[in-house]
Amino acid sequence: MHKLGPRNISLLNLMRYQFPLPALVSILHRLSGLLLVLSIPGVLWLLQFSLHSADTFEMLRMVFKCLWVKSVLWFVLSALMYHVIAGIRHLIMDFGFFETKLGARCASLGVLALSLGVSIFLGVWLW
Amino acid sequence: MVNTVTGLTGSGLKDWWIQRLSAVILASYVIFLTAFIALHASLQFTDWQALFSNQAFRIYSFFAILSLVAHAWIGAWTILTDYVHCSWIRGVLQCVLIASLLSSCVWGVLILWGA
Repeated sequence: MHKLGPRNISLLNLMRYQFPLPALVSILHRLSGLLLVLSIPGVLWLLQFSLHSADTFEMLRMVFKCLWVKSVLWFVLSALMYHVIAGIRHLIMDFGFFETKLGARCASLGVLALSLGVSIFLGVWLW
Repeated sequence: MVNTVTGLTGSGLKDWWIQRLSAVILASYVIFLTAFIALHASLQFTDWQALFSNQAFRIYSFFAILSLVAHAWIGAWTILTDYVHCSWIRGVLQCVLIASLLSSCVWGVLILWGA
């Protein structure tokens, strides 16, 4: 197996590139996906705990009143909502829509705007 | 190469299709749960327990779990293949990923049909 040559992109170079909007949407989609995969055990545990008994259910309700728990919950739920919305953009693009440069930018803007809206709504609802 | 053998199906096209199919199933499940929680202003344990005691919902949840495992497997495989270039480290990470996802699958089933 041949050795890979020297890399020509470093983290410093990465900071200097200009990224179009679809690129931002795409990397956020990937990052939110990673976060969600890492939260799978946590979510399963929450489900198990919530179903165990009425007492544990109420215990969870109390814990969810805590500010930092709410913050973590809001962050993960926002990531989930973002991932779903950006995912829907992928599916729409699979059908051939938004495949021009302008179309892709508009779709990306739509995803970011909608996700921001949902995220704010979630924040208010959790508060 | 390690790559194709650690992907879910070993075929790019099959993975692509399963990624989309599982995405739709998962999205519907998330929307359903969101609507359920939204429609129960002050959710009680009895409502929550009743939902997860319903056999049809349990089966739906099981499909959601299977979809999640498939979707996460393919997604994480893509990330690992893109960023982890050392074959054996990537191989180890992929094994950890697969073990974790399969364990979560079993755990999910136990939660749904356990005590």
